[in-house]
Amino acid sequence: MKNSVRERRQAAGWSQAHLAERLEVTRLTVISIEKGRFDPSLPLAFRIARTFGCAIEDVFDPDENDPAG
Amino acid sequence: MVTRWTLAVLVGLAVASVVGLLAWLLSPVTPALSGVVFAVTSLPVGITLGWVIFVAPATMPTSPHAEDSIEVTWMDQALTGTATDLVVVIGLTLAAVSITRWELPTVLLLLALLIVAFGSASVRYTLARHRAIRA
Repeated sequence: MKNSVRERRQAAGWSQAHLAERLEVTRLTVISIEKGRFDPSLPLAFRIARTFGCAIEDVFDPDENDPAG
Repeated sequence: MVTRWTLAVLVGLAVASVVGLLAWLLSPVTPALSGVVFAVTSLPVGITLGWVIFVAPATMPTSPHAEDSIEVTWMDQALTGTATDLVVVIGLTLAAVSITRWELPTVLLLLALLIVAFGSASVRYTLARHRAIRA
């Protein structure tokens, strides 16, 4: 699943550690989400969207090649 | 906090007493010495258990969203792989023992399985973490 977490975090001027602290997860979790190697749980995806003040579908975009997406 | 630590030490003493008593009752040789040795060696484990029950909940910071972290996913994947590894190791060992008719001591077998399980989970978790950091 593609996402714009990195772009939104950088636009906000936050470090990965700061975002991780706000989301109450580890920094490795943020790094993995930004790299697209970890699809967050639904509650975490909602927290990410709320943190950036946007809708969940604005942050996460299903990969068109993924049959589950 | 003093009360919690007191309770932790009491749990440790209780565990050590029970283990020492069992060793004293069941040991075929030098039961008194066995009881003392088992009691002394199980005391730190018992106190740790008491610490987990009484002290840690009041001192360790807990995140309400810990299950959302990727480390939990890595651990789940590692433990799933470990279960598969154990089935394979047990199957191969059983085949080898059946063919060769070896008489392996039960304690040695159980210890080997425990080591395989710990090793498998550790290696799998470390590899998953390493891959995620490198990618």
